[in-house]
Amino acid sequence: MGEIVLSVKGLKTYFYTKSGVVPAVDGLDLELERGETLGIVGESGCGKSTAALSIMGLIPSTEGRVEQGEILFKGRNLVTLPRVEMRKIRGREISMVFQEPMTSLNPVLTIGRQVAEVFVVHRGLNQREALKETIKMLSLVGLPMPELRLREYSHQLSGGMRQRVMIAMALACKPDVLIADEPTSALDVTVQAQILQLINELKERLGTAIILITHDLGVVAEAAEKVLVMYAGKAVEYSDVNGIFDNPEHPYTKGLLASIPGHKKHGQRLDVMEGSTPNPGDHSGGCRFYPRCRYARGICRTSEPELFDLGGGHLCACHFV
Amino acid sequence: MPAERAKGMVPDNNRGDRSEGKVCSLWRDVWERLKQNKAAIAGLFLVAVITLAAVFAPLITKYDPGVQLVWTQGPDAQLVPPGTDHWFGTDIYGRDIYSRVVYGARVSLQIGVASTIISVVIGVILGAMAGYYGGLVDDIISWLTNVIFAFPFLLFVLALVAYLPPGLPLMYAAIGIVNWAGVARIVRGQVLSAREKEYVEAATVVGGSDVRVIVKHILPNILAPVIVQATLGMGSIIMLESSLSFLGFGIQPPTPSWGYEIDQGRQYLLAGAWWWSAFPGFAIMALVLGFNLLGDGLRDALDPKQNVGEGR
Amino acid sequence: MQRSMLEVKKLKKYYPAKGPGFLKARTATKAVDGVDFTLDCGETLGLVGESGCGKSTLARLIVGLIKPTEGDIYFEGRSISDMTRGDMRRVRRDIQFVFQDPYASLNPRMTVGNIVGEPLKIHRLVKDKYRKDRIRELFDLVGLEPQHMSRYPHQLSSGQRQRIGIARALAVSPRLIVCDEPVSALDVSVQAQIINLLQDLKQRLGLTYLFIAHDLGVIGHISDRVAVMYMGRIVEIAHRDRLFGSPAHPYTKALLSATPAAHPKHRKERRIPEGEVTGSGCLNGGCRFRNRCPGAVPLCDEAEPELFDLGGGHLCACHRVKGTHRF
Repeated sequence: MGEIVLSVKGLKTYFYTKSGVVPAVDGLDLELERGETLGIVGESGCGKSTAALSIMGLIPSTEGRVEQGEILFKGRNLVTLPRVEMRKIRGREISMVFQEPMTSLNPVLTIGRQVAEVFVVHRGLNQREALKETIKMLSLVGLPMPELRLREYSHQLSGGMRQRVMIAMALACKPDVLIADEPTSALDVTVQAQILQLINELKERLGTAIILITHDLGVVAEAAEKVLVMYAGKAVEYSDVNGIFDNPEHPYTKGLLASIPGHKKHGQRLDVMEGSTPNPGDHSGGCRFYPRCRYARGICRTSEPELFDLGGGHLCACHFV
Repeated sequence: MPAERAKGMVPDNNRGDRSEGKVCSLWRDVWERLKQNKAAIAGLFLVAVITLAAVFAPLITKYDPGVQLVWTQGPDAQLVPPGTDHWFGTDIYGRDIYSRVVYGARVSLQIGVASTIISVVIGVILGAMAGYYGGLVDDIISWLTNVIFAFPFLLFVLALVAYLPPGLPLMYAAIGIVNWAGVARIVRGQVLSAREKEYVEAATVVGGSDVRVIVKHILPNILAPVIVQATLGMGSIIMLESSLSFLGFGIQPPTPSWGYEIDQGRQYLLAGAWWWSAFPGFAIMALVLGFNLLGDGLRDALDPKQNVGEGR
Repeated sequence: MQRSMLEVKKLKKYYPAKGPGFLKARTATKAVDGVDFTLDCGETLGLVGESGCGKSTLARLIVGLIKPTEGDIYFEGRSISDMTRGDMRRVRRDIQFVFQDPYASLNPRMTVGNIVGEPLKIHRLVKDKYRKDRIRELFDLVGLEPQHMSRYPHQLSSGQRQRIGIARALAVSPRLIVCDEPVSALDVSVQAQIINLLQDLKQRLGLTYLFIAHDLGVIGHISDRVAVMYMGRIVEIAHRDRLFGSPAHPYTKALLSATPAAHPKHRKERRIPEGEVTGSGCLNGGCRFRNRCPGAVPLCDEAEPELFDLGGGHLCACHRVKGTHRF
């Protein structure tokens, strides 16, 4: 068992909208060990991105806030940490990569300035040292001819290269935790493979723990060691990656796996879950998956199942497992 | 970065079954947002009060705006300062300024509304054609709008007045003809981007004619900026009419018009009869301000960036 | 012998690109640059490629949303460009389109019932009093409840919206449906529902599909034959099993290799091509894939490879494959 760098306990993040309170994350627990990759899988609206932003302390206070629970990082609770302290951690000890590399980079600053700024702000280097580090970092993330890229702007780079720059910025301070929110969803398959490979390599080299948020089970199969499946703001299953693919226990996980089309299943009907992903806030007692679950019984409507250890660290929240 | 956050942020509210009650929710949303904007509501109030006054003018005035009390009451009725009988005082002919201001609102609003309708109709048709068809059609229409923008407006009206009898219809036409260019420009830009939308392509694929695609699919979706432009334009048109009347090219006496009143009262301003010019001036200010506040508020309320129901 | 429904010959679409300065030479963007293929009655042809390869442009050319720069499209043996207006209208009804984004493709100001009913109105396919019944029928066909008819697009879930998009396409009883990434904007569980629906509809109504996607899993699941597109050209086209089992073109191989494993045990050492798709301007003659191709030879710089039949309808555009095949 490795050392635990980040642990989230009973996290509840609510948004306040005109139409009412939206519990985007509604009681989430997770633990992240040093140097491991945890994949968080779920469909849109399941709260996976909100969970990530909660950990980063990036929930805009005008829209919502962390209502309950704690996020423990190196013995400190990030939820109650003053903003100034949080700002020091963010980008240095925990950093994040977003889905859309085009909008995540400032279009009017050169790549060099943007990456170097991380070194200046967080490590207090002067411009020259920072530039040197920047070149080192850019070549580490496999950007061809980094010296030339320094003077370019984000629109001159391809999608994959932009994502590499984002990763370089995120890893510039050798953070303990990297949160990657759908880092490859906007990229082509061949580029996605390159980026996943890069993330894996860097993890090995720098020992960074990674939270990989995705809707794509293929990405999880490719890059994660542990998997957390989320549904409607809660974790429904947690296991190592083989456990999820070999013995999925939760009906939702099973359903997700059965929904994936493929060449080998040609012509067959896919075994689908009926209905659509619920809106956060539609839930009113009972199991959140109950309306779409084919095994549902009376108890599922009345009581909400808790995560239960099936042995070997495989957790599942279902009454019938 | 902020856009990025927003994407992850905003919980996807628009998915899943929603109750039937939200039909046509866009306009209700707009109204809800508008209601929260105090300035916009103040603007709406100003416009509404002046419009009501104009409509019910005979009911709320004691004197006919044309009656010259000098003839019946002698010089006593000349330049009476504001008081209980004449709220805004009287002019040199003994006419009740209050009545003239109220009736003047009729003229201003008529011209505002009629010219706006003319300019919006021309502007939307030409702008939509330019944006939708592009190419030569676009070149010609864009060239035309540029000509209109560059055209010395006063000269144009002078020329018109020289040949045609001045009056309300001439004013509508003159202002409408000049003002459509702004609308056309906005519509063209909007159509240009709406044309690329998938639902417009979809309407084309199922066989919709050009007119159908434009009228049923593009125009309803670009209405918002046109409404804003029209509302803001209303203020400037009223201003324009007043200026023209002030200069004597606009509404001809004895029809009461704010601009003309100001011009007439100007000579007596230094003599102490400030009310003759001042009250019509306040009226112009109130109405133009009203339209501008309302237009600004509408722009904010219609801002698509705040629209819930985008997203996927 | 199957009758071919659609034949595309040397189809090209160039967009005049605006140069950075007005004195600089303007190079055209070659979105589609010489595409040939045939589509048989009742089959599903999957078209796969990465972003910017021209697959959406090709789809729009086929449904007539844009006009080709060069080349021709034959529908049931007749060239579309030679048709009279009336015939054209008929053909346009026969070829329908399903869009990628189920939200953007529905007019937000119309109820979904009216959206589905619009084609009926335009083509006067049913009398006004029966229109509602027909809409109800179409709703039933795509698995929607009739009470959804009075809703607006934003009141439906994304899966329901895509069903509306499909119902609208079906309203004119088309024979060929061009699906442009119809499931890529959807969640996995909803995506599966739509894939099933499309397959059911094909069987029930005898449809032919041109199915465009970037996801090889989806393509492999639904297609009979698969065409791989790269920078405006089809580089390989083959029966699904041939393409997945023994791909010939290095780009197809790369794509297959880059697709994430279905199971963590199948994580593999990959041969991912380096680099990314570049603009078409920089390649003058020669193979489009040569700068990313692990096995490029001098010939690849000189001549653009043409599609070459490897037997059994397996076509591939690669000099080296052609070379090894011959000798």
